[in-house]
Amino acid sequence: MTLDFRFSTEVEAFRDEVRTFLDQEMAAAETAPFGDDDDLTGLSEEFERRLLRRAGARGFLGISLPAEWGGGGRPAAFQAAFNLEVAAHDAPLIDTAVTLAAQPLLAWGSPEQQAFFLPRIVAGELMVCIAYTEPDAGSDLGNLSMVAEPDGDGFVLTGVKSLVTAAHKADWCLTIARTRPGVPPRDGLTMFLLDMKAEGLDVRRRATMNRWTLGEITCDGVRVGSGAVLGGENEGWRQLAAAVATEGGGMFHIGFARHLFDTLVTYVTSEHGDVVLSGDPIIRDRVASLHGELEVAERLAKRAIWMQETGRDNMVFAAMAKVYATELLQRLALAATDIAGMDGTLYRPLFGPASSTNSGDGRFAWEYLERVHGTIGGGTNEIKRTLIAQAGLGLPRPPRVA
Amino acid sequence: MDLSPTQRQEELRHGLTTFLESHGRPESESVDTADPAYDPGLWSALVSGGWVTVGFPDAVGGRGGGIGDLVVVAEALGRGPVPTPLHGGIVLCGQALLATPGEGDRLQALLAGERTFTYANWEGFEEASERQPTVVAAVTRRGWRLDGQTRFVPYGVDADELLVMADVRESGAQQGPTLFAVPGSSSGLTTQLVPTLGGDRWSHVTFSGVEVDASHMVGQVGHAAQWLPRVLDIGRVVLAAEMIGAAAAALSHASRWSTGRVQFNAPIGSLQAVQHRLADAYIDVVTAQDSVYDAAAIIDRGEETRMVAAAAKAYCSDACRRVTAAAQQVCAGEGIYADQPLHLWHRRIASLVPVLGNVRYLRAAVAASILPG
Repeated sequence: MTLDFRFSTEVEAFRDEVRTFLDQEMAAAETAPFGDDDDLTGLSEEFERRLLRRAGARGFLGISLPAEWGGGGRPAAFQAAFNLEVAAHDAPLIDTAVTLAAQPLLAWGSPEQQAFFLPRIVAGELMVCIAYTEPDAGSDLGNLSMVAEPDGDGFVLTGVKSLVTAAHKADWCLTIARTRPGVPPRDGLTMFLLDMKAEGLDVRRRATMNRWTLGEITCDGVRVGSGAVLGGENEGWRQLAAAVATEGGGMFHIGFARHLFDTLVTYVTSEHGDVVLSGDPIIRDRVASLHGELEVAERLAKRAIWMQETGRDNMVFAAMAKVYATELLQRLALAATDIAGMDGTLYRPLFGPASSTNSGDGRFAWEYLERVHGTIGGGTNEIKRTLIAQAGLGLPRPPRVA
Repeated sequence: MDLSPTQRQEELRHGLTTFLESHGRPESESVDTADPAYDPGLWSALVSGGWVTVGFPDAVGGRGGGIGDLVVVAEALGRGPVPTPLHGGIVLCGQALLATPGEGDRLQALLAGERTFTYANWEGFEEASERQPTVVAAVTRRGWRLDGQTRFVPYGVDADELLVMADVRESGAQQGPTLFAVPGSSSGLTTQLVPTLGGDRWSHVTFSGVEVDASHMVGQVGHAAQWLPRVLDIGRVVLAAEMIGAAAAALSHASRWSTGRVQFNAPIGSLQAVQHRLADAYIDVVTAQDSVYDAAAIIDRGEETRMVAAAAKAYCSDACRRVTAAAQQVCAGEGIYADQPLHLWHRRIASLVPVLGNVRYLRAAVAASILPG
């Protein structure tokens, strides 16, 4: 075999299936009644849950999870192709249950936890949010302050988690708290699965600059049984490091980027007034450059997936793919708003009523605001660069400051 | 999707690296002297050893394999860096002869190392609107007479034969690009070595009534247009492959240096400002590598080459120059000395960037593929 970056014909066939499904489900007539600017997906919870169940019924959720839990048991490239299409369709299927909660459940879940969560996740019946970050502990998870005090055969949780995607609608929450006071955090953290309806748990929605909200979860003496512990007691640090390192959502960014690039190409090749911008050599140069970078980003994401699929350690390449794609998205959004001039400031939420002004149609300004958080969430790009330098290039760690 | 190197590629990479190590790296300072780092003895060993005849079929005297194998060779040469007539002497000339029926003798002589070749004046014919052809061939009783001047011929002073592209004029009408094999010793032909930042042996060549007989025409009148775009694209990918080798070597050098260099009681490589700059350089290196490997694979699959070759070389030009700029900055004062190797990679990349089209030209080619008119 010689090097080949193309998806296999089996993956492409699956991708066609997903595309057909999403073309139908995400048709403007289907989504129009369900627009919700307060939600990250741009659509109401009702629409999202319906689509999750339909996708689950088609076997699209957890396509790479083991078949014994209802997953597809297919290689990582299938999940990647799914992610690509979901993102390109703005479909509310970028769901943290499958992408972020399933792997820790598989790796450390008890038989009871696995039997409860995994089949429901792949059926699209459960939403699970991820709550690691706190107001005073963003990238530095050694600084976590939520406490889980032993109480009989369980724990009582007290503290605040911030920047939680989908907290207001999630059924469950995967979180982490300190279980041993007076020891370094690496020896005293434990992961928990919380029922979002638990007494003492409160969610405050806080609007971002692009209208949709993130959740702040306050636990005020939330009591859980020992069955809420995910994995080992006081093993949370190690588990979290592994969970964050294997985060494999790189293809979502590529789907977003393709969509934005295609919208930009449509914009510059259409008539605005009596001008078609694609005749301008400076714009041609910029679009060609972005096209090259898009291809680069896709190859990088695919290499990270291929490494995962073939059992190689892809931590460094997954970090590279995340850094490159999220920064490319910012360059794309900047170029689009810049090239479109005043049209580039027209703002329309994702599923708001369409305007007839031009093909950018308010999307560029939305993108310009939306693409800010990609370089921050999922581990800031600075944290990723440090990882790339140390784990990839073997550069020395900084001396510990006493 | 399969991204692992083939066994053949692994063997080429390992074998050539070992071969080059046994010959030693070029003296850092010699790149600036009157006699550049090019080593004719090493070059003929690379040809006769079959290292640089990869990508040509066994049947014509090559080592077999595809462009995907050839880029492994180019990358290893760039890593040295070992300046050679690879792209001009073997790749472009050999692929042109391979694509032209009836050119077996010249091709065999080239691949066996019996005669050295170079190319002249090809780019001007890629897009008629881009530049006017500067060498013209007119019919004579015995054959052809060539007049004109062409600039930047690689290793033009060393080659036994120049494959020059000329605009054939018969009865005043243009007949299309036509290739002629002109001996470097021809009467009326003058070559002038020009100094460049890369220390390569670029020459300007003047044809003043150079007379050749009909046997010196390669192929038929106007025939070159059929193979020219693809051969230039192969050349671009090979140039990009040399760049990625040089960039990877510069990054390794800077990583090693920043690990050993202690300032303020810590290795500078432990500082975030340095780590993040080198992390970006590492991303540039691996993405540039994959753009070359992918483009080579696409050429080997017989698909359209224009956009991928242009995109790969444009991206590598930018990415690899960012890498050497970062390496120079991290290695600081020590890195600017001529007796240190860093400038060799820095120069090598900079000298290859404009060959067969600079970034602006290549991006215009990419734009033509994705945007109408």
